[in-house]
Amino acid sequence: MPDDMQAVWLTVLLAGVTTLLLFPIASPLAWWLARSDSKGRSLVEAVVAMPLVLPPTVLGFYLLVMLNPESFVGGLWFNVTGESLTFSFSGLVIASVIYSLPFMVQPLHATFRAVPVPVLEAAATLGASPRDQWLNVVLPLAKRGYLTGGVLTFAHTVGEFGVVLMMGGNIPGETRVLSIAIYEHVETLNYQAAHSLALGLMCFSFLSLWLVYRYAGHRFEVVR
Amino acid sequence: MRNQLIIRGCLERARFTLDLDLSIDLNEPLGIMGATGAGKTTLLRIIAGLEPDFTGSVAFCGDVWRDGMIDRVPTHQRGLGVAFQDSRLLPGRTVENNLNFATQRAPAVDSRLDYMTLVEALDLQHLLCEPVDSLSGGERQRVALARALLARPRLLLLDEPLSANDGVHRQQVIAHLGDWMSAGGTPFIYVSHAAAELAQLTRQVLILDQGAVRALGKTDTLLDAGNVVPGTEPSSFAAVVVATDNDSRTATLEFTDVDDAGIALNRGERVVVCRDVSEGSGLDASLQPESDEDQR
Amino acid sequence: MNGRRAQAGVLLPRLARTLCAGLLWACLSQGVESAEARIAVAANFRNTALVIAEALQRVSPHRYEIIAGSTGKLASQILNGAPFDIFMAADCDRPQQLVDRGAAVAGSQQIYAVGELGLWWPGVSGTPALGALANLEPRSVCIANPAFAPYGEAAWHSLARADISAAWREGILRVDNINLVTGLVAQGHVSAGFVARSALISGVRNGSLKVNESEVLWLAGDAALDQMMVLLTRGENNPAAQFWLEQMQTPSVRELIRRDGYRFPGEENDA
Repeated sequence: MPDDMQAVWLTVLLAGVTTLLLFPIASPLAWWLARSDSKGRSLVEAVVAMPLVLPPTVLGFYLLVMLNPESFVGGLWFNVTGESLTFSFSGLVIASVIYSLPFMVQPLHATFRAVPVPVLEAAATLGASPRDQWLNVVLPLAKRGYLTGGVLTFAHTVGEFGVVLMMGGNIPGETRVLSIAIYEHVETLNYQAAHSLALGLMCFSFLSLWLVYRYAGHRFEVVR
Repeated sequence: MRNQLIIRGCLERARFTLDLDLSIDLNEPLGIMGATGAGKTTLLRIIAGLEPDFTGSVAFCGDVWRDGMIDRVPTHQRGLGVAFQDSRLLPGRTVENNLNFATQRAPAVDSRLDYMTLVEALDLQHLLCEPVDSLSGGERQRVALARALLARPRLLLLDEPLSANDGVHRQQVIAHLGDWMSAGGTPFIYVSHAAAELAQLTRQVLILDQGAVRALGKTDTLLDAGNVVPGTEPSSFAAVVVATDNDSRTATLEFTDVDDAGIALNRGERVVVCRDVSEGSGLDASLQPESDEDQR
Repeated sequence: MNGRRAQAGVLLPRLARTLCAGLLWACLSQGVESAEARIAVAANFRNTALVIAEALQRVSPHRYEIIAGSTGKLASQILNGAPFDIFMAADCDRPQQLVDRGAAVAGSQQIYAVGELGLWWPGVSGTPALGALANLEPRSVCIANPAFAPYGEAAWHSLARADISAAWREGILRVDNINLVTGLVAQGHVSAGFVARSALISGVRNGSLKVNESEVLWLAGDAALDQMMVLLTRGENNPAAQFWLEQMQTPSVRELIRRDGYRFPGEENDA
C-alpha cells in the first residue's frame, strides 16, 4: 500500500531529523548539567524531565495553542512562510524535539558525569584548549552515551502518538506517521493493514535495538 | 627575569590556608618537600592554573599568568608539562595514543630527547600498544612522565612521579632525568618525599608545612646528613645483623649497600631495631634520629 | 558554398517545426494549471469522496487528498491552522462557524448532500423500534460522539424524543466517528448502533457488509442531515479546489453521491 509506505518514510524522516537536531541541542545542555554546581541546576533538570511524566496530550495541547497561526510564535512562522506550524511536518519536528529531549539529555548527562575531571585537567596541561578537550577527550569517552541517546530518541519519536494526534492530525505526506496510520486503519476497521504496519514496526524496533546493542555497543566499550 | 617564578597570594583549604610569597629562580631545578597534606600538590596546581579559588598572582619568565582571581593565561597556553601523582592517563586508549596526545600539541622545538629515546629510557617500548587501563601503577607513572616530557614544556612539574615504581626503575629514571635536565635546561619542579631523589636531582628545595613555607634554600644545606625534615621518608638501607645482645636489646648491623646519596655512618653506631632479629639475617633498616638533638 | 546553403535549407524548416510544436504545447497547457487540493470530509462521506476524487483525477490534471474525520474534530483542526482547502461537513453549523471566524470564504457554502440516519439492529426480534432499545444494556448500543459528530448528535436527539431515560442514554457507547459504529455493529461488538445510510449502502455494494433490510429502522423524517461544504480561505486561489467545487454541481458527480444513499435538498427519499 503506497500510502502506508509514505507513512513509513515520513516516520523515519521525522525520527531521523529529530535525533540529528537533538545531538547539538542536548550536548551543551547535558554538559552544563554535568559540570555546573549552580543553584538553578535542579530547576533545569526538572524542566528537561517534564516530557517524561506529562501526558502527551498535555504537551500536544500546549503546542497546539503556541504554534497556532493566531499565536505569537505560530503567527511569526505564518508571516514568514505562509504556512501554519500546526498540522505540518515542521510543527511535528518542533514537537518531537521537545517530546524526546529528556531521552537525549539524560544519557548524555550520565555519560558526561562519568568523564573524570582530573583527566581533563591533565589534557589542559598538555596544551588542550576547552574545545580541544571536548572534541578529543570528552567525545571519545561519550560514544556510548551518544549511541544510547540516539537510539532512545529515535525509537521514542517513532512511537509518538498523542502529541501528533493533538497538533499534527492525519495529513498524508505531512503528519500521517506510522502510529497515526495504524490508528486510522483500526478506525476504518482495516485490521489487515493495521496488522502489517504494527507487526512490521515491532519487528523493526526489536531488530534495530538488538543489532545496536550487539555490535555497536560492544565496539564502544572501554578496552579492558 | 629568565625562568623566574613568582607566586604571591593565598588559598584556603579545609585543613590549612596556603599563604605564599615566593620569587624563585628556576634556572636551578627546585624540589618541594613536606608532610602529606602540607600543600605541595596544591602549590603545583596553583602554578598550573588548576585552582580557581586562588587569590593572588602567578608569573613566569615575566609573563603574568594569573592576576587576582583571573587567569590571564589559561592552563593550556602556559607551555607546561605535568606528571601528576595519579598519572591521569587518557582512559580507553593505548600508551602510544597517550604519548601522541602530547606530541600533537607540543611546540615544534628541537630536542635531543626524541620519541624513541625517551620511550626506551623509561622502559616503555614493550608497552606502546597496550591499553593504559591494563598497566601497573609504576608503568602508568612512567607513561605520564614520558607524556609530560614529550609536551616539550617551558616548565616541567613533577608530582611524586616515581612513587609507585620499584627501586630499580626509580634509580634508572632518576639517572636519566638528571642527565636530560642538566643539559636540556628545561626548568622543573620536583615534588617528593624521598630525600635521596631530591638530593640527586635538585639544587634548591622548598619545604612546606601546613601551608606555610618553612624553608627555601640549597638542597645540600637543607638535606644535610641527619637534618630532620618533616615528612621525609627515612632512607632505607640493606644491612646484615652481625651480633645481637639480648640484655641491652641491641643488635649490631653491618650495612651492605650504602650509596653515595646516603648519609655518613660511623661504624658501631647504635640503632634501635623495632623487631626481633637473629644473627646472620638480612634486613632493610630505616634510619631516623630520635629527636632534633640527635643530629650528628 | 553550395553545401552550406543546402544545410541551412534542411535546418531551418526543422527548427521552425520544433518552435511551432513548442508554442502549441505551451498554449494548450496554459489553459489548465494543475494543482493539488486537500479536502477534509466528514467520516460518513469518506468512501464517496474517494470515488469522486478518483473520477476527477481521471478527467483533469489535478490531484486530491481526502482526509476524513468527524465534523467537529476537523472544524477544530481548521481553526487551529490545518492546511485544508475545502471542508465537507455533516452539518451546516460548523461550516457557518468557520465562515463567521474568517476561516472560510463567505458565500461558498453549498449543501452537497442530505444524509440519513438509521438504527441498525441485527438480531432484533420483530421490527426495530427506538423504544425497544431501552431493553438492551446501554453499553451494547453505539452512537458516534454527539460532541463532534452530527450523526451522533442526531442519534442522541432521536433517543431523547423517543422518551428514553436520560440515565440510560448516559451509559450508551460513544465512539469517535460514524464509520466506527458501522464496523462495531457489523462485527458484533455491539448489539445495535446508529449508522449512516451511505455506510450501509456502500458496504453492501463492495461486499464488506451483509445487511438485512428488516434489521434497519430509517429515521429520515426528523433525522435527515443537511451536509454543507465550504471553501476554506487557504484554498481560495487553488484551481483544484475551484474545480472540485464546480464539479459537485454536475449531474455525473451528483449521481455518484446519490448512488451512496444520499439525497439532495427538496428531493423525497425513494428508498
